[in-house]
Amino acid sequence: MTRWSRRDAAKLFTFAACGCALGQDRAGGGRPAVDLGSLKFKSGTAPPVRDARYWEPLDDRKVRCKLCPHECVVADQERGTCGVRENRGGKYYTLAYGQVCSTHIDPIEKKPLFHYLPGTTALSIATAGCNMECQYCQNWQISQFRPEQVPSVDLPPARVAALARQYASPTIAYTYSEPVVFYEYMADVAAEARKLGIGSVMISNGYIQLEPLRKLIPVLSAIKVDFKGFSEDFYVKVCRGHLKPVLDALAAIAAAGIWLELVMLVIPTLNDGLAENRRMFRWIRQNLGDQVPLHLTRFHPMYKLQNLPPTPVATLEKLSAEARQAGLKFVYVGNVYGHPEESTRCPSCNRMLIQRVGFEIVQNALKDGRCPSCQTRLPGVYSR
Amino acid sequence: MKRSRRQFLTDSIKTAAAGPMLIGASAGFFRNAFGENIPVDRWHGRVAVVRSAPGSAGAAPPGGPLDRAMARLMDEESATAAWKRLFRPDDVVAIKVNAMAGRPLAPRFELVRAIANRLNGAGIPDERIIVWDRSDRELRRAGYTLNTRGSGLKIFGTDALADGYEAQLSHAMTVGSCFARILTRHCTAVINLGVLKDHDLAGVAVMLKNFYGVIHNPNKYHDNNCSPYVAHLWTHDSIRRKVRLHVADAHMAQYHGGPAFQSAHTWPFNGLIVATDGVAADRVAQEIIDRRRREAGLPALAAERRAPAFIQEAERLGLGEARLEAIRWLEI
Repeated sequence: MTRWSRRDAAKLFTFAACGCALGQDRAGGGRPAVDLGSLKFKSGTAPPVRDARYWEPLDDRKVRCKLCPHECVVADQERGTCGVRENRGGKYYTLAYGQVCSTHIDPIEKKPLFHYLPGTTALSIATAGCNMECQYCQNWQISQFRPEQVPSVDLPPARVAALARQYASPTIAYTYSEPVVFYEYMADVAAEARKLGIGSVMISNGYIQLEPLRKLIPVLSAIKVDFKGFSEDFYVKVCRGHLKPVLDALAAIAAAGIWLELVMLVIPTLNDGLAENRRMFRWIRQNLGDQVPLHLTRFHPMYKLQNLPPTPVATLEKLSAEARQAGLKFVYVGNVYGHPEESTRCPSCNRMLIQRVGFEIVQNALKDGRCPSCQTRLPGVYSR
Repeated sequence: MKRSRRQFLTDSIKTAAAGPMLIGASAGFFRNAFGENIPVDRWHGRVAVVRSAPGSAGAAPPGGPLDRAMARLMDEESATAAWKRLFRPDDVVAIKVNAMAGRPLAPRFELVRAIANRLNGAGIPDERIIVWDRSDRELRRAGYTLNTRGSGLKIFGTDALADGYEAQLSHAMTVGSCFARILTRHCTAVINLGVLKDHDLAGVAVMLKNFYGVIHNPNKYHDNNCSPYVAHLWTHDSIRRKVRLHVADAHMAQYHGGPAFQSAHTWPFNGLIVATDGVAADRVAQEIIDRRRREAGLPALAAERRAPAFIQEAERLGLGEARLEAIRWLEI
């Protein structure tokens, strides 16, 4: 056993005393220095408001939002759960219109869309706000904030379309946060972009009512939906949403014939159950068809979900095999750099068609959207 | 002076032993103008409700009723002593108002000014008093004149600041939010200045609910009548440690149709509700609103399935007194 000298004990107690004193200081007994001169005021003004679409008036100046399945009943001066739509005097407005807080030129593979103009870029934009609150959100600094709480620039729809052309992006992606909550803006940008021959893709949680969805689809070129899991419990407890409306939206998207890809972020212990996912794969095949690509992606600790480890790659591979066994033709493993299942093979002859490493395309053997060996057509969008 | 090793060791042990007590004190106590360490629940369960004669309060300045309420609440001979019992001259005091309903149902600026005058009396100049809510727009609608520089009270919204909210999430049980930096960094003490009003989801939005205005994402915490979220929010260290006083401007009150102003459902209560125990004050406010609802022929909040259960939850968490029979309701 180590024997302590009086010198060691003195050192220890001195250290402890200092630590306690510091802790006391931070805790407020020794008050923090408050310097009001350090306040940094911003010069901007409150975001402008625009009429919101899809709502109905109720008694007492309340409104019911009909854009997403929450159907928030919003009292005067309050906002819906998305944080971007506000009732002012019994009328409903959006504060997100044109208030772009994030703009990037991304590879389309980053969305991820693997069967949509591979190797091209997308001008990607977002405003603040989301109608869910996934506890693992990787963009929570914008999705969980209100428009006035994040730095934004005002980008009118025509300006966004012009930027896409300027940067030679054939596509505009509405992404990062939840585009459903900036529906009016997305629809107007997509319409402007279409005039210039530029496509639009919505990267969404699919939490939208059917009427606004059906009105939107004609101005879009593709949709990617985050399928959070296949249990109502998971949607309620982890994402603040519900499963059924997402299934309805997915079926409506498939019925409309627009290109659709699915992503499922696989989270250890929360949505990685084999039986549950087998049901999900079957549902996809039966309701969306076997051609819809499914990206099974790796979770990393984020936002409020910091207590779980990253998804084991073996879990993704196991689920990928199960999905293929269920009949899905295009299953990818995502967020695992260099994984062989990032690439696309011909479903008929197994030839490598599009070889990817991360978001980079190493080789694209497609000829007019077909396998050069067996001429099988690869489902997707390969020309503008 | 040269100290022996024995003396050094003895002093170190004493300091080390005192450390945890100081940490505990900082969480549950504050130091006042008299140099006393006051436990945050010193006036647990006491609520002063001061009312003017009907018809008189419209023109009456709120300072007098406020003084009477403060002195009675804290069993002091003078209001000045009461304020000094709560604040000290080097405090920076933030007054969180509830401006959301606009001028007809926001705390009157006259009351803000009266509070500031009393803080001045406790040695705190206007320049170290911040009057704030979440947005400039709401403050303007409530009739406040914004002031960010120079002399006088500082009056602005969290959104006026370039870095209005903490960049990092902070957790208070089920609530995970970025908190207003005015609360976390720019003040040493807080006065919660609400109004007496109904809330269509929470039941009442008087004292505790007002602090949804200090987090960036209140819209995520309105499920289940805002319970337990409101109570959980109040377990946050900055709130527990800094909020010294709750005042509700009940000059005009609203018993239905809140949180926005609905003239058809307001009545002149002609009063103030004052407490250091926000849970007890909310419970009293709920009772006042329910009584008025009965008079108006409306069902109780509970019958409309919007009883403010967060009040009981707050009591369960030790944040205050929610049992009406245990509350000392001081009618003045």
